[in-house]
Parts: sequence; C-alpha cells; structure tokens
Amino acid sequence: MQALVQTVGVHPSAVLTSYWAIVEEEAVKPEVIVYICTTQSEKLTPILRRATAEISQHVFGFTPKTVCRKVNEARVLETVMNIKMLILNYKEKGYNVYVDITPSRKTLSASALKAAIEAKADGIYYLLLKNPQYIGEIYPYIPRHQLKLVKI
Amino acid sequence: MIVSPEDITILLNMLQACKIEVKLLTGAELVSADIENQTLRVEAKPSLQGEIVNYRDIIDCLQLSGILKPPNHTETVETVRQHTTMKQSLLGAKPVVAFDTNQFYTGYANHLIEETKMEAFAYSKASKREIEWRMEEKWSPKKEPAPKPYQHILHGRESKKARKAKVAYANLLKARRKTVCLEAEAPITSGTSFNMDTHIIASLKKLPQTLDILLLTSDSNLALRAAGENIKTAYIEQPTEAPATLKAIQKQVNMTIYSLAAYSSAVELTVEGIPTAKIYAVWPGKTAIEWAQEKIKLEIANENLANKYRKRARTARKVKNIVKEASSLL
Repeated sequence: MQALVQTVGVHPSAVLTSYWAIVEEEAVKPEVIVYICTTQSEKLTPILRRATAEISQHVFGFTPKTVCRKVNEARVLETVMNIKMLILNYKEKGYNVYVDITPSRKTLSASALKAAIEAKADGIYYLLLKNPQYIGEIYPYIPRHQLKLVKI
Repeated sequence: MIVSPEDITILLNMLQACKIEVKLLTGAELVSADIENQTLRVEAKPSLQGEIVNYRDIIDCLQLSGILKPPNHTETVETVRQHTTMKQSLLGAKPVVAFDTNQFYTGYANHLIEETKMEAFAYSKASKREIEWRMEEKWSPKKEPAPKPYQHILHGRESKKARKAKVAYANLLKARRKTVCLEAEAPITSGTSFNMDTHIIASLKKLPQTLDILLLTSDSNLALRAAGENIKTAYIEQPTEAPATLKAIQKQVNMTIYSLAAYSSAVELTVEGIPTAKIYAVWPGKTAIEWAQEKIKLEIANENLANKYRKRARTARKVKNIVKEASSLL
C-alpha cells in the first residue's frame, strides 16, 4: 500500500505536474493522496481531485482516494509536527509513504521536508523545473529534458 | 488524431526523443532538431527548388516559428519602442504601429506585438481581403506539380498559395486576440485599376488624425510610397538564408513542424532516424476553425504507441482545462 503526501501551493499545475512525474517516473501508485493545504490553497482541492482522477484512471489505470489536511504554514514547527504525525500514522497502518515537497511555498515545503526526514518517509520528491517559462504547464507539455525529478 | 502543435511535445516526451528530423513524404529532409540542446538545423540545401516546399518556404517557416528573425530585428524593436513610448509623451498623439500584409504571412506582426507588448496595432482591410481572396484557390496539378505521395492529399484541396494565406489569416486572428486592433478601410476609387499599395496607403490615411502611424513593411515600394505620403515607415528586411545551426526551444520546433506541414500539406516526423508519424495540415473536411486554431492531423506509425498517445493527449487536454477553471478561484 502506498500513500503520497503532497504540499499544495498557489499553482494547481505544479501539484499535478509533480504528481504525474512521480507516478510515471517512479511507478508510485498511491491508494491515498493527502493534500497538505493552507486556508488559501484549500480552495483548489476539488480541482486537484478531478484532475488527479483523470490522470490516474485514464493514463495509469488506478483510482486513488484523496484527503485534505489543513495547516497554518506560518506556524512552522506545528506544521512539521502535524505532517510528521500524519506520515507516522500511515506507516503504522502499513503504507509506504512518499512526500512531494514541490508545489507549495517555501515554509510549507521546508516543513514537509523536515517532517518527512524525521518520520523516515519512504521517498521524498522534488520536481526541478529547469526553465521557468514552463511554469503553469502540465507535465506532458513540458519537454522532458527541462524537468528533473529529484529523490531526496 | 486531430491535435495542436503543442501536442507534439507529448509524443516526443513519450519517446524520450533527443534528435528529430522533419522530412517531406518523398523522403527529402527539411530540418533536424536537437531537442536536448535546443538547436535546429536546416538540412535542405538552398538549391532546393521544385519540391513541394523550397528553401525560401523553409526560411518563411522558421520566421513563422520565431526561430529566425529579420536581420534588422533589433533596430525594428527599438524603432517600435521609441515610437510607442516617447512620441506619446512628447506630442500627445496616440502612437499606433501598422503592418503590411507580409507581416502576417511571416508571423512577424505577432512576434513583435508580443515582444514589444504593443497596446494597439492597425492594418488595412485591403490586406485582409487579399489574404481572404488567396485562401480560395484550389490545387491544380498543372499549375503546381506535386510528387506522387502528395497528389491524393492535395486533390480537391487548397493550393500552396491558399495554405500560406490560411496560415497568414490565422496569424491575423491571433494578433487581433492579443491586443487592440484598428482595421483601416478606404473606398476603392472607381475608374482606377486596383493597386494594393495604393489601397493600403489610402486606408491608413483614413485613420483618425489623432493617431501617429508607423507602418512596418517588407515592401520597398510600399515603404517609399508611404513615406511620400507622409506616413512614417520602417522597412523590415527579409532573411534570405539560415545559419547552419539555430537556437530553438521546443515550442518553436513544434511551430516549425506545423508551418512546414501547412506549407507542404504533409510532412513525416522521424525520431533518431525512425519514421514515427505523418503530420497532415490538409485533410478532407478540415474546417475554417481548425485552420484558425492551427490544427494538424497526426498519424502515428506504431498502433500501440498511437493508443497510448491518444489517452495521454486527451487526459493532458482535460487536465489543462480543469486547471484553467482554477484561475477563477485564486
């Protein structure tokens, strides 16, 4: 069983692009996707759910469940603790837990990274976009050599 | 499958393509691109004549994609910037850049509008009519001999002149969507023979006096005559050849493939020398909207790859539309 924890920022395309890259390049097929949202980015979750379902079902042939966990990214240590507990919870249930720190703003990405390291997540990912002109594009439209999926 | 030029990236990503070649259906190589190093080479020789596309057409296609710019591009940008900013504050007249017909054929109007963030542009309705008139011409094997693989594609369809005009028309529509546009019109004087230059000048002179017009043209006669009528002009030099290697990002490579397909009616795409897909810009029942949206028909040689591509391209498009909805939430 696999769970993917994804931080959510202001660009839905960043969440979807790194999701598509992780599933495609790392063959991760999560049963559960946990979106770590802020008050602002929480509004994006219905859109993310629909788009993720499209990608998962029609390209890769599976259907993940999606969950949203709201955090206050300004409270960094509290956020680290919340994400760490979440990862440990899933690990206790027998999941391999992967964390994607790509899409959110710095404080949330840093919190997720610290939490993932402390909770010994099974994989931590960061999708490096080499050319900023592709910001806002979806994974298949970005030339492959302009992307690098970094496993931390 | 009917797709947009940007969808070519999806196919190249699936194949992890580093090097691609674009050929005519006769096998003649036109251009090659190194995707990883973002370079493009013109493989056709300057002597390429009589084929379905010639060397001059390839140069035009490179201009359309923005890979190749007029030799005096930097000066032109500077002239446009000076005209649109300084003049406004000094004289209070509203500066407007006007384009001749050719700037829509080469797509230079579009590139310039984008690069200079032009607030408004003008063109003569005569230019639009000229393009519309050319779009009607049908292919004739006598006037436009075509090699065998092209004969059935072109039968009953647009001539090369018409295909080029449709590309120009799509550029005109794109430019109009990008910024404010003024369509200048002057009545055709009865008793005089129709002359495009005369008409363009007359229509620009009909624009309100409060506008300060700068006409950009690649036609030296038009430039001279417009200057004689006290219309400011800037002459756009046309590139006649391409350097051995050009810088080209993926988007520009895709647009070059589209333009070459439109000019020739169909091209073959090979990846690392392996025939991968045929790309058609002409097919029975292609609609005006499909021309305006720069659609192409992609025929992938390998059926398994074609099925995977279809799923992926359809999903990518759906996801893109879903993401567009999100912009209203932010």
